[in-house]
Amino acid sequence: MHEMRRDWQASIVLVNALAALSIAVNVFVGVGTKGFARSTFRRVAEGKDYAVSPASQVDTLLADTPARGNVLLQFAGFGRADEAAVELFYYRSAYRLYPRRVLAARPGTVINRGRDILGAPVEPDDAWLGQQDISCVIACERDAAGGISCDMRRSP
Amino acid sequence: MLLLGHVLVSAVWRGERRPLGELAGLSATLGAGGLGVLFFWLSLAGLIPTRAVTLSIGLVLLVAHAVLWRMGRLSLPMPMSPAGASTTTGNRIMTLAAWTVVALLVVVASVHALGLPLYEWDGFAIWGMKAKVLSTESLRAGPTYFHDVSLSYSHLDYPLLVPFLTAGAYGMMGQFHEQLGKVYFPLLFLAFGLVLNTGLRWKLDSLRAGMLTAVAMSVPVLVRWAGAGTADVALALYYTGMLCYSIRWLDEGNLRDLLIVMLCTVSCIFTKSEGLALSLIQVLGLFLFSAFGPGKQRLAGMAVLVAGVLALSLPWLVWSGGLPRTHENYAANLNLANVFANWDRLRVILPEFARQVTAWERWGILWVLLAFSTICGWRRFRERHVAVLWFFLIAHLGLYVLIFIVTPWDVRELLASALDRLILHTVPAAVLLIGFHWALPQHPTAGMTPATAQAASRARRRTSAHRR
Repeated sequence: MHEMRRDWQASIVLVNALAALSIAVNVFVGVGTKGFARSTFRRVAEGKDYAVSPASQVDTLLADTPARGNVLLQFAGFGRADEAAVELFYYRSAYRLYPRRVLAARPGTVINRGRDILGAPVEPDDAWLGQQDISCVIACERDAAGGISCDMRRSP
Repeated sequence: MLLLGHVLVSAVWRGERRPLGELAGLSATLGAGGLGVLFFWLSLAGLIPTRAVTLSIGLVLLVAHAVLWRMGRLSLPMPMSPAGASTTTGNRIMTLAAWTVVALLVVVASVHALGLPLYEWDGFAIWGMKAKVLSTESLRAGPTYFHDVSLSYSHLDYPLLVPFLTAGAYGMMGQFHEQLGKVYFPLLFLAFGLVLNTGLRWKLDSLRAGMLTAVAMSVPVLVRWAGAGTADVALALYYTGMLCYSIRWLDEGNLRDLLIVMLCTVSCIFTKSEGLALSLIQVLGLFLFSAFGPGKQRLAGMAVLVAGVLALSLPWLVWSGGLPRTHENYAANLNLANVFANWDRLRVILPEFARQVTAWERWGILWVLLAFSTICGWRRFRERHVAVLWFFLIAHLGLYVLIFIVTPWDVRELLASALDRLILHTVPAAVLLIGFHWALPQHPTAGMTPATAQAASRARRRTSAHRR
């Protein structure tokens, strides 16, 4: 028992120091120039960071959709490299507009990734739009320069 | 939430006094878990978590509180007592500094949760979406969401504890307010620290327990996800409760600790899909260490635990069993054929795990600290609570390696997006191990409550008299 206690006392100083160092490292990482705590406080104080984030750009676009009816999203010129943009647009819209529905692919398509949306595009006619209670169509296009432009059209 | 938690802990402890930190931490833990499960049952019965429903629950709880108080069964904090090595001024100052760091971290989590909307992909696509659904329709009404495969990316079959708590917050406000919907996240983060500290205090003095609590809570990955609106820190919290009280039950054999393990396990299952796998590991570990160690009579306690968890989780398991599994479906993918077919993925997975745990900007030096304290305190491997914790940690990491082996997704992509959050779940086991390897050999009753310590002393006297 005595030997054990001596060993323990010898190592405990070092372990104590390591624990204190661990806290110091974590605090340094958090409040450093690129630290999470620092950036969070800045984002909240300035309120600008979120305003220019991709999710907020989708929210801004959706703010102009009619208050009733479902929404159809269409993507033209998007390839596998643009999957993340398609996912963000659809996932954020589906969340933001719930309980209204957002359609981006043929009904019944299992959507787990952006490629599922791009692989089952909807080609609607007026009858289909009426059947799905679509009040607004948002058509997004990827241009040759790599930019994305979206056009919103209200359904009759 | 706290009211429900306090009623639950008082019912379990039958009015026994406990340290303030343990009482507050466990009340928040069991309160959040209990409220989530209760909202689920009420939703199955056709009730949405509106303000009226939540206030009615609060009223019933106030009555239960008054009844327990009248019967003398309300658990209250025990008076503060000076603790071992923390009696010197230097130790007191360092303990205070550690808790100041903890308080500042809770402030950071609060600013993050309440100051920013749901901007993380998982936050809005999975958890936020479900919260909106649950605050709009009851499960009895059969919301189309849960069978709409065009929303399959949002994991239709994921457990609903966090979404129900957010839906409860929306119900109380009467609107979908993304920031205020996360109002309970900082509380869960604080509860994580308090429950972890309780587990550490059973073997360590207040200075070292406080320092390790600050180490755990300041881990950059944990701070980042604490207020993000995802379910990872909630899972880590319930897992901490499961681990701490399992160890205590193995040490002392008190059925009340097992009841807390049971409630934490049910909450774990209802928080994330990984919770079910962790519960199975937990039960297997407790079974092995009860069957082959001292105290074999504890196997009867195991039966109580399994029966209780099954009974309380059954409504969720039955209800979610009918949901489409169009996303990952790990239960179906986890078979030997799949494991052997993808065995070569280990060449990608293991180096990525190694890279992850050595990334100091994500984990600080947490894993170095674990390695170092393990080497320094290697003699502790002989102790059952250390051995069982290592079993849990290794099985937990092994489970995640298996998940990456059988995943239907691109393994590199999944490792990049999810590995830090998965390893986050192992932080409580790692920190408890650091503490237990670090602990000085103690008197057998150290860390026990006075009542249990007396019972343990009596039992030892009986055993030695019997031997004589």
